[in-house]
Amino acid sequence: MSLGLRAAPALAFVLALAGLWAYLLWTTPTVDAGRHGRALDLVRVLKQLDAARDADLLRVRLDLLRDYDPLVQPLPRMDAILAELAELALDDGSGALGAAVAAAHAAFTAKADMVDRFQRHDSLLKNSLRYAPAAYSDIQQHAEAAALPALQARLGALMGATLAFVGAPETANGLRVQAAAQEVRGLVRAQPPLAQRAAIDNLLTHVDVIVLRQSAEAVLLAGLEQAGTGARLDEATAAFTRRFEEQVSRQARSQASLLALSGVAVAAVAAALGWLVWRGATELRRMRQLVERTRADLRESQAQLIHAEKMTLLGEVVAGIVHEINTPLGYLRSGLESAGDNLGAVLQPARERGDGRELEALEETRGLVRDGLAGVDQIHATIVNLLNFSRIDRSKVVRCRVENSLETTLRLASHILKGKVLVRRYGQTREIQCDLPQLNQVFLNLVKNAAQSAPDKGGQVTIATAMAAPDLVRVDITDNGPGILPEDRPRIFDPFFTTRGTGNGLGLSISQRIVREHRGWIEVRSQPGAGATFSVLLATAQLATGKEPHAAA
Amino acid sequence: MLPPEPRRPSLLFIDDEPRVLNAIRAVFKSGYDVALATSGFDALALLHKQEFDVIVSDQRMPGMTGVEFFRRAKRIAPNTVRILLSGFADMDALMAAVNEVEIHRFVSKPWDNAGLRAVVAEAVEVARALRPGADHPTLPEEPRIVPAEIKEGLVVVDAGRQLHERVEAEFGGRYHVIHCETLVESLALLHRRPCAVLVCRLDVCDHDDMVFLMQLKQHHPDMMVITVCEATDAARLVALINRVGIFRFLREPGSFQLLTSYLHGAFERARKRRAVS
Repeated sequence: MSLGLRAAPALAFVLALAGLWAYLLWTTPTVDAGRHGRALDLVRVLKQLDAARDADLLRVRLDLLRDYDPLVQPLPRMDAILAELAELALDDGSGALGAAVAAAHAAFTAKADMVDRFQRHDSLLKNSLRYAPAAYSDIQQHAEAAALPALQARLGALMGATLAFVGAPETANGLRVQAAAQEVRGLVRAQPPLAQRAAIDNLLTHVDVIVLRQSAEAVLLAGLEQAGTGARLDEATAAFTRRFEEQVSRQARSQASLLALSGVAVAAVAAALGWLVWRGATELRRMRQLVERTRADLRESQAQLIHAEKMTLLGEVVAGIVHEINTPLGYLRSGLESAGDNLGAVLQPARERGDGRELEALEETRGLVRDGLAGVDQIHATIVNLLNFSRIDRSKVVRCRVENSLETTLRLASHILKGKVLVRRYGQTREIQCDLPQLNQVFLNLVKNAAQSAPDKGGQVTIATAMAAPDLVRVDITDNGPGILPEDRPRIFDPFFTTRGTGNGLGLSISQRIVREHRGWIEVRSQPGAGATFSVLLATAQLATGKEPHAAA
Repeated sequence: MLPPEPRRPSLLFIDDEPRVLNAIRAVFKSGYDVALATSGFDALALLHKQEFDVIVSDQRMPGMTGVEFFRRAKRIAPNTVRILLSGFADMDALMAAVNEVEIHRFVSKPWDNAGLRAVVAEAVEVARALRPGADHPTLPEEPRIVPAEIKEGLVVVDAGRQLHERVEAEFGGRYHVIHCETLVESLALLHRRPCAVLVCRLDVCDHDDMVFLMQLKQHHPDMMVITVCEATDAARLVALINRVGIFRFLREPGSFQLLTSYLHGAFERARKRRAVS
């Protein structure tokens, strides 16, 4: 998988995480504790103002306060506060808070209206309450002078009832006042008094006003108590607090989610890192193993390469030598032949002349020339063998019998076998398919080993060929040397293993490789003290009809 | 007009070793006009001055190899027969010798005198036969029986079909391309219907084909033979040159272009041969 494909799911995961994180961050409500604090403060102030107004109202009612200003003065401020509260209640999801603030606002508006009405009633009431006693005392003076005791009594009763009503504005008292007023009216109608008639009417009017306004005031005051601004404000506070708490909890939840998400991200990163480290470690282990194996292969390949190099170099050297030898051989042979012809031409006239010494010299010379020619041919044969052995003219695979290769090899190994007895036991073998120079190399190596193992006195090397199976050729090379030690047996084919002082220990390992490439193998049989036999087994050549067509040129 | 006096065959020998030339002079002293040179340059100078029937040259010489010399000699004197005489020739030199320079024979050192004389004598005959209007003791060859209106024949001998298919595709329009699986089969075929050119794929391991190819060439001396082989050794190639007289040798895997150009050359040569005879 390409890097891009592999990175895609990881990238998608990271993007999703980032997206979720951004979303959470964006939707986390900002809890403005300041605003909430301000709202609560505002409510508290409003409550204080309301309470102060209630107190003032009471004082006004009790006539402890004669100024209506305190009742009106806080109004603008209250309105401002309510407006601000409404604004603070704006970003409210459910609307409950807005409703609570609106309810409070409505309550305050109603209360303000009632206070206003109270104020009107009260001013009239207070006015009458102030004039009534003065009018009464004025009337009493005149009534005293007029010696109207009944009137005085009735007026006194009226005033008494009125004051009683003012103190306790109950219905019963109100009725008593009206009854007393009726009696006074009756008296006034019965007796035409008089000069105080207007004053008495005035007084009566005031009393009516007092009764009326006082009742109305009472009703208003009862209504004011019911206005419930305090309760509304408490509800509003509760609503604010709820909203605040809700926001806080939402924020806490969001923050918890963000934290959890961050935790997940960190865990994912840690996991990824851990996986990378683990993978790195396994990779490293695998690499090490690979390196070890490669190094081992490399060493063996190197050994074989050096060997092949040597062979190539040898091939070049052989080519040069062969040419250098063949040229003088060429004119030597030709010259000897021509010399022999010339001698032959001279011999006949010499015979006719009958000169014995001359004839003897000529005959001897002709014999020497013949021997010379034989020598030249022998030299040439050796050169041909050398070429055959090395086959530097790059023939690849040929079909032949193993005996051909053995003979070629033995001719070139004759100096190695000097002093040892060579025994040939050739059987009827079928042709094999092989790379001749390489096979020659194998046999040369085995023959050399056998010759070197065989003792200097009475040493013998035996070479036998036979068919081990209908399609398997067997070549046995046996020596009568000391044999192979059991502890060395497993290692003899290893590269660089040697029990001799000379040699590089590569011969057998290369030989085994060559034979393996020929679809064969090498066997060893040896008993310590009883010599050793190396057997090369090779598959026979394929039949001609079994060939596959080659690619066209 | 009287026919010119039959003159002695003229030979040119080149070898950087003077002793070789001495030995050769002794062999050809009677019956031949012999010229000797120790380098390709000297030999070319001689070639510019006179005509030779046969040139025999060594391959490994300093300055100019035998093949290089023959390349130039071929241009100056195309009808002179060329023979390579060498102590060792590698595959590349041999292939160039047969393909580019068209040597007639390869003789290895050391040689035997009688054999060399025989080779040279045969080469002289070939040279004289090639020369138009030249006097030669041999009778003219029998006229070809193949009528001109029938397409010239091209035989492809190959155990597989691929080579034949490709040759057929390239040459089928102009020539009659026939496929044979073995040389034995082709012998029978050619007996019935002679062909101008034969392309034969050789087996790497099987060396029996040499016998059949020799037979083929004996029956059809004017047929041009091109051999194709995956790998071979110098000895085999020398045998193909000397005993079969192949026209070209192609090593596989090779370019089909090369084979095509060889085939064109083969047909041209076959036509020239027919014109001369």
